[in-house]
Order: sequence, then C-alpha cells, then structure tokens
Amino acid sequence: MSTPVLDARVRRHVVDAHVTVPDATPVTVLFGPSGSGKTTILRCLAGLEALDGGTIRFRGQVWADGPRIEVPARRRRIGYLFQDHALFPHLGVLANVAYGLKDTPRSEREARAREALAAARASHLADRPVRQLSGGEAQRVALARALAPRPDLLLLDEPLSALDSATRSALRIDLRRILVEQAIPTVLVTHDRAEALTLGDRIVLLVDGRVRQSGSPEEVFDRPTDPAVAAVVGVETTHPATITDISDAMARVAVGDRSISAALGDADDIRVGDQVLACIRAEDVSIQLGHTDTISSQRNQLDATVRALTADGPLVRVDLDAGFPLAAYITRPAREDLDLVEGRSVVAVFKGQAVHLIPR
Amino acid sequence: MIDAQALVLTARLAVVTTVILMVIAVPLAAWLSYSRRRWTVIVEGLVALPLVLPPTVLGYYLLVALGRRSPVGRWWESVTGEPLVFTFTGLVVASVLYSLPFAVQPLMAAFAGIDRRLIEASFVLGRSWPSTVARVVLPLSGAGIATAIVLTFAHTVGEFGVVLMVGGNIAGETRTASIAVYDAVQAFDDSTAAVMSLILLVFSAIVLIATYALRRAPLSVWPRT
Repeated sequence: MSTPVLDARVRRHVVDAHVTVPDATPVTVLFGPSGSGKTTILRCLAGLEALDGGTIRFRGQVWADGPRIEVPARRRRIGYLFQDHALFPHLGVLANVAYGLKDTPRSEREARAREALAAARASHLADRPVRQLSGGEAQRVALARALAPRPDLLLLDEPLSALDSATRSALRIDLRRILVEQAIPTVLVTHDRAEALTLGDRIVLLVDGRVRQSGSPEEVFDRPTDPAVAAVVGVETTHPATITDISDAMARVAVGDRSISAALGDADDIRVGDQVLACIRAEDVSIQLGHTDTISSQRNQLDATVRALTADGPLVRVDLDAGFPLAAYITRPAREDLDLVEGRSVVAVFKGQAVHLIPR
Repeated sequence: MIDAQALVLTARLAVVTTVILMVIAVPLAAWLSYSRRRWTVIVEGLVALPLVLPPTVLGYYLLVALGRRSPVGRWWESVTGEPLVFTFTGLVVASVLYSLPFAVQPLMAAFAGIDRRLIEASFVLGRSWPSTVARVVLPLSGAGIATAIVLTFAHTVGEFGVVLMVGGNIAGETRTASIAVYDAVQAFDDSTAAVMSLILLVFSAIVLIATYALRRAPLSVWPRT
C-alpha cells in the first residue's frame, strides 16, 4: 500500500487514536457515538486545537509535533465544513465563498467563487444575503466556501446533522457526488450510520477516543470485530453463545436453549466450544406465522413470542422472545397481514449468513 | 460667561484621545478576549484599574513617570523641545490611560459575543489574526464599537482629577471644561460655573441616553463575567 497522505497520531483529552487517510480513497469517515472524540480529532487535523501528544503529518510535512503546532491552521490549505455552516452573517453569499481566495488575483475571484458555487450545486444562491438561506442552502454555500481555495484536504464535521431529514437525504446524495468529483482527500465526521455508509469509502470507527476498527463500510458494519463496535454500528441483537459444531463453513451455535446455524465467513479462527457473541441485525430477521417445509441448514426458523411492537419510522420493530431476545423489522402492511399483537406465537426466520459471530 | 476656549480644548482632547484609544483598544481587547493564556487576567485587571483608582493617584504616578526629571520626560523633552507635563500632549497621554477601560470593556463584551466558529472559519480559510479582526470581528461588533467610542469620548470630556494633576490650569493649553467650572467656582464667578456646568450636564445626559438607546441594555461596569 502506498504511504498515506495523512498520518495522524492524535492524543488530546480522551482521544488516543492513529488515523490515516490513504491517497486513493476519496472519503474517510470518522464514525462513532457522541463523545467518542471524532470532532476533537478533526479540529486537531485542522490546527484549531493543539495536540497533547502525537504527531500529524500531511504529505511528508509535519503539521503538529506534540503540543507544538508547526503549521498553523491558516497555512494548512484545508477546507473545513462546520456542523452549522458558520457563514459570515455580514457578508453576502458570493463574498463568503470568495473569502478564502486572498491569493487569487482580484479580477479572478468572482469567477472562482461562482465556479465553487456551481460545484456545490448552489449557483442560484450567489446573490442572496446569507441570513435568508435555509439550512440546506447555507450548508451548500459553506461547502462552496471550503472548496473555493482548492484545498489539499477537506474536513467535514457532521455536515448534515443540523438539517431536517428531507433536506439531509437530498444533500447526502449530492454531497457524495461532489466529493467524488472534487477528488480531494476528505475526512468526514458523523455519528449517523446512513451517512457513514453512503458517504464513506473507508470507515474509521471510534469508541471512547480509540480506533476500534477500520476498513470498508461493509467490513465495519457487517463484521464488527468486537462487542463495542457491534453496539456502535447498531446491531440490534447481540447474545452470548457457544459453538457446538462446525461443518462446511457453517457453525451450529447454542444461544440460550436454542441452536441456530451461522455462516463462519472469514472468521476462520473459531473452534468448537468457543464462546462467541452472536450478532443479528433486525432488518435481516423476518416473521412468519408457521414453519415452512423446506428445511435448510442455511436457514434458521425459531419459534418465538412477540414481546413488544414499536413504530420506528416507516417500519415496525418487533421484539421477540426466541429463547433469547431477538429484534426484527417489518413493514406496517406486514404487521397487519400477520395480525401481530403482543403475546402472539410466530416463527422468526433468518439466514445463517445474517448471523455474525464475534469471538470473546 | 462661556469659556469657549476651554470647550474647544476639551473637544479636541476628547477627539484625539478617542482616536488613539480605538487604535490601541481594538488589538488589546481582541487579545484579552481570545487569548487562552492565564496571565491575561493580570493585564485585564490593570486595564480596569482607572475605574477604581482615585484620579489623583493616577495623576500622581503620571507626574512621577512623565515629569521633567523622569527618563520618559527627559527623553520627550530632548526630542520635541517641550516637556510632557503641563502640556496638551501630556493631557492626551493621561486621558488615554484614564479612559482605557471605557474603550476596552465594551469592545471585549462585543468580541465575546461573536461565534467562535466564525473566527475559526476565517483561520482555516487562510486569514491571519489581524485580517480576521478586520474582516470578521470588527464588522460584527458595530454596537460595541459605537459604545466604546461614545463612552471614551464622554469620559474624557468629564475627567477632572487626572487633568488637574498632570496638566494644571493653563488657558488654551490644559484648561478643560471641567477645570473651567472649578476655576469659576474658586473665583466666585457663579454665572460661568452655572453655564459651563449645564453644558456638561446636557452633553453627558445626551451621550448616555444615546448609548442606552444604541444597546437597549443596561451598561455594566465590567460586562464580561
């Protein structure tokens, strides 16, 4: 692998993390719950905060070495997008975007600013006063302002979290396109799973200031390496279990007083008798009223009792007692078809591939 | 009846003092507002000193520091040919120190009210501290700047003790309006004292009402808590 463009060992307050940004990956996402130190790392990368210890290197240049800031924020040539845009309220949209163009000849500034607005899909906002922009519009302008000086590194701090959900999903799709177009190494901070999955090419998962796992979104979200990661990435069911048998890359796993089958995947270090955590995502579990005849070792069918029903957005979360607590997501029509009520006996169905085993 | 010379001199002193203080107070207030070093509280305290110190005490130390036998006074006299004390220039120096908190505090209050992220946004967009103060901090501190100018001007017009100590009472050189009132009372010139006092009273009232209207908030002596 080539040397990373950014190599940062950040020690600051609770944070003790080693974060790298490879050259070829456009967007690295720092993902974690609030308080995990994501924003602190971003602010250290930007030079807005000094390190307690560690070093930050960008393209071979030392930006910070221990508590000494070698290159101040204004000389790092970064684009920084704040959570709530931080546009200058006394300047118009165009003047905001042109603010960072101090090294551009005066005659070219407006053209450059308009170019950046176009890149951020915000050309139509050029002549508006900042105070009249909606949240989504302001964030586009703020992105244009960050892009205008053609930075070497983009740092985005929860760029969508201050927006309402409709604006958020529209801007999320645009943001991904814009980031890929710009091809500037980007570090994006988020605590939102959907954002991390759709915007990131690489996920760095932080818990309590430490990197717990990093890799492609699929790796991190589908194959968490430890229970803390599983909790953070939002796997609804995690239950202690014991491996009772292994054959053909499938394991028999005792969970409570039940036995389920689970695909081993790349977890080839699991042996019979190992204690593991069985992780099952609610969206991988479906509910039927009876057993289907075709018995397959790849398909788990468990008798279960409905314990609770909770509306969750367009879906309904069903908490089951299948010998162990198991959560499932179903649609509202499905709930009506199945006539689900608390206490009803059903069959929970999920594939062996949907069970992720974490050695303990 | 009206000591026009004293009024003109007072206005001149207030204008010169206000201009000089704005140049000094903006960077000072910015530094005090944004520096994270702990010892800035010492400077903050020293800047506020004229608020509580008797003007005669400040005047005494200025006399000692600027007098004709002091290093500063001798240097000034060797360069310009005239002494610092009992001159208009000496009055300006004294007024600048005496009115310093009235310029610095409203500015600090205004600067503290600015969203820190706007300043950080300016940094990451490549701007230095001075450039950020000029382009972001000052444009967003309009009311604070206006308050600082008005209070500095008014406070300089109203000073008495320091002026008397450092400047004495030389017509056309150091006799300000407040000294003229004192002088008139000493000389049993009741009508001059009455007219000059009324002028100062009306001026001060207008200034303060204008300031309150500007801020729509009570003035506090030390606004930043």
